[in-house]
Amino acid sequence: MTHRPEGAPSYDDPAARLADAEAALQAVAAGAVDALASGHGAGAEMISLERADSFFVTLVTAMQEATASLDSNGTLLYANPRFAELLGLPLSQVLGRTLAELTAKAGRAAARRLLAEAARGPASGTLELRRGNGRLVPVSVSAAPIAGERPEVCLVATDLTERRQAEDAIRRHAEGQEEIANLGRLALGGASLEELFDRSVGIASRVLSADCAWLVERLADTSGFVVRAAVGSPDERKGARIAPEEAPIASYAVRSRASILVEDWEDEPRISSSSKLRARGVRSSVATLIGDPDSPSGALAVHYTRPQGAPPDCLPFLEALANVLAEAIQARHAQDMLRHQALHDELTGLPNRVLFLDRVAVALARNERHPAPLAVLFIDLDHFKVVNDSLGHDAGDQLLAMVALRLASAIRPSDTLARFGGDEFAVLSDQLPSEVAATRIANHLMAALEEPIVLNGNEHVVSTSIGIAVSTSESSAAELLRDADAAMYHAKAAGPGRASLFDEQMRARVLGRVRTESALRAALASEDEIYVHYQPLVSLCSGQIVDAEALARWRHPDWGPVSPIEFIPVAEDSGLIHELGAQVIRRAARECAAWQDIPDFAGIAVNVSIRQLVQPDEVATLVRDALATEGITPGFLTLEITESLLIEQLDSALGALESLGDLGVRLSLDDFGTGYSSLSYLRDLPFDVVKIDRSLIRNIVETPKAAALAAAIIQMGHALDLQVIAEGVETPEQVALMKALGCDIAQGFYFATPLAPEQLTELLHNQPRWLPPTAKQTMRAPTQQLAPTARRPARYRRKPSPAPPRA
Amino acid sequence: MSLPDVDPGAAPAPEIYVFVLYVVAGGQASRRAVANLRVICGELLKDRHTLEVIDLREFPALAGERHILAAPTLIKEHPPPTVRLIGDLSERELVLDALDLGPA
Repeated sequence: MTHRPEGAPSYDDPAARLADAEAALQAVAAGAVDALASGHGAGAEMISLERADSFFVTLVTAMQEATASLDSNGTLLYANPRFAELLGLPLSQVLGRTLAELTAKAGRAAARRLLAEAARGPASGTLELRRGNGRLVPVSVSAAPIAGERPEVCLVATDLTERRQAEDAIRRHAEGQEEIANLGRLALGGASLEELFDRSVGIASRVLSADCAWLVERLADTSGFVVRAAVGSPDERKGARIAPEEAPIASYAVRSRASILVEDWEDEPRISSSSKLRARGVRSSVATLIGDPDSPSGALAVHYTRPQGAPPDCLPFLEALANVLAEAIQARHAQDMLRHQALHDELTGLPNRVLFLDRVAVALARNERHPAPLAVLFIDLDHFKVVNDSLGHDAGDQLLAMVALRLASAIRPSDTLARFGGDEFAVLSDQLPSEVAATRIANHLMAALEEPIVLNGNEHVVSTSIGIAVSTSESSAAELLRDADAAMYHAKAAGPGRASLFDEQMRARVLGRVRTESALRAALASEDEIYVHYQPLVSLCSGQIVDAEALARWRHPDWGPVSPIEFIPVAEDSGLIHELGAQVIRRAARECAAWQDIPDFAGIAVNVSIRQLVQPDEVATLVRDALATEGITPGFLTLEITESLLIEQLDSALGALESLGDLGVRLSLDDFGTGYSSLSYLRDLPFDVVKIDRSLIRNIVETPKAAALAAAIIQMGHALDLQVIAEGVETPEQVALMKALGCDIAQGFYFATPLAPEQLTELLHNQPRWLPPTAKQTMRAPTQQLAPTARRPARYRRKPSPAPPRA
Repeated sequence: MSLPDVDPGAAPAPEIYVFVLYVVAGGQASRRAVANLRVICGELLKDRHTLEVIDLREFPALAGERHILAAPTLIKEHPPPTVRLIGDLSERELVLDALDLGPA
């Protein structure tokens, strides 16, 4: 061993160089040197003194496995370049260090144990080496002792990083798939979007081992984003708005319509980081779009405080997660749209009846805590049907939409305007200062429509009838609406452009109807309160009874007989008319079966409500069954349909009329002369009989115009091959005149009131024959007709002693 | 050559020894040199040293530049004076003496 202290620069000094050479020679002689340098400067080479050693060293140096040898203290005496590479250090920083220094703190004991074991014999294990940059490298180590003067251990280390990464990727993939499946299940189970968003940022952050994750929603006006969920950044407030430049990665993803991976913000050419990301120390990020890339609904991003933080397979996972969210968002939108459609009117976008009733119910509930007048206004346009028919439905719809705008402009923002369909609107106005305010709102609404509406260059004046109901504490939403509806009808009856406040009188009437309805329902169930009476129809030619009209009668156990004028409209409004009509037809068929054998008796007529004709087969089925059950020929039955109502519902009733005509029953147009009295209906529809309305007959003797009208109907009816019947004849003069005008048949108190079936049977067997009234009788008759029951026996040619009528 | 100033009253910053050991990696003598130096440093210098071990087979030109004749060669670059030791550093007393690390 030789040494030479030197004062730099001393190498030009030949004496120093000589001393060095001497020292080197001594060391070589002592076996303390491995190699000598030859040549000078950059051309120097090392010449190994032991050839065998050199061969193995060359081999080991070139090896791709990391190899090192250590002494018993764990000092690295030798390491090949691959070992240095594994540690991310220059070889000069590796040799002379101890294994403990190069191992993660937690693994040092394991490293010492492995060395101790290897000093005795071959050993293996895994260690985590600490790289120069601080990251840990998992390695698998095989070690064995090297025998010699000083014991050494040699080891070979294999980098497990890639294997670990592959294992991690598999684990992450499995975990990710499971989380995505769970999220999908939650979405299907109806979890709220907020819950799904919260979960998805949690999942993204956990599976991708991110430091934080955000989910932002893109604003519809593309002015930026709104934070919907975040983890790992406690100061991120849900609902906070973010300008596009504050969310550079989401903005870039939206612009490029694709996912984006930023490996290191400090070395990112495409976009620059934001102050927010910098403040959080974010070094790398990944973001993916949620929804259609052309118009995404948002973005999901994860961030890392280290560069290249995201695992290599992060994008497929993040995109799958975003797909689940996109589908959930789309499903929710579809649901919202359906819900909106279910609760709104398509034409105007206003709430519909269902939503309106709900709002009223909510307002009533609120009223219990803060009582204040609450009004429901029912608005119906006057004569809208005329507008619709003359302009066409499209123009009618446009007009309705414009009316909706006008009405909306007349109410307070807190009020609810709804459209119930057709030309019906409603307004809910709560927390009113007083009841009078409700009337003021009605006036505002009408004033809003004063200015004509211009449609396709034409001006239309629209007026409305408004019914107002103001809440009483005990009313329900439906009752309030019903009251407003009743008030609207009251207003409409008084003429167009009026408003009417629901009052006690209307309430009494409404309550009366409600009472009638429930009693009628009970009556129809009991089947012994409803019965049928028959009014004879007399031929003006022969004076014989040729037909009878079946009329529904109701006797209430407490109230006694209820007038058809009262209960028929209630039956029609409540839908009970279907059951009532069916019961009357079945009963009449049963009771009239025996009358088929009476000579010259042509049959009975039963009234059918227009509401029964809306279903094309309802009446036809009913009639077919009744005829078959009782063995009645179809021609024996006539169905009477009221003219005015028929014309309004013609489109829907046409099918029913045709199938009834096909059945072979006769059809009669009732109350002719009260409605449109359109000849074309008589010509085009399959009617056999026309009945002149009683209101025409009433004035026929005194009013020449009425007589002329009746004469025209009779002539026209005959021209169309129809039988003509006069209703409501009460005096001999009326009978004489109708006969003179050529009317075929007459019906009325002059001949007989409606009779119980057994009374009619008796009367038919007696075969009464009314003589055509003479002029003398005509003069006498009025004085005898104060009480129809009293005069009836005199009407019969042969006194049949009929029982007094019940109703 | 003087001993390090150990006067606690003066409390100078402890000298950091800077060693560069030139070896041919894997060579018997080189391995011994690394082990021997490490023991000495561990016992006497603890944190007060840096060690660079340079494989001259990897960087043969350095031998020319730094006028190194044989491997292993240890150069103590700091504190002055620079000291060169050729050989496997197995004669401990001589090494300590040369490096001025003899028992105080």
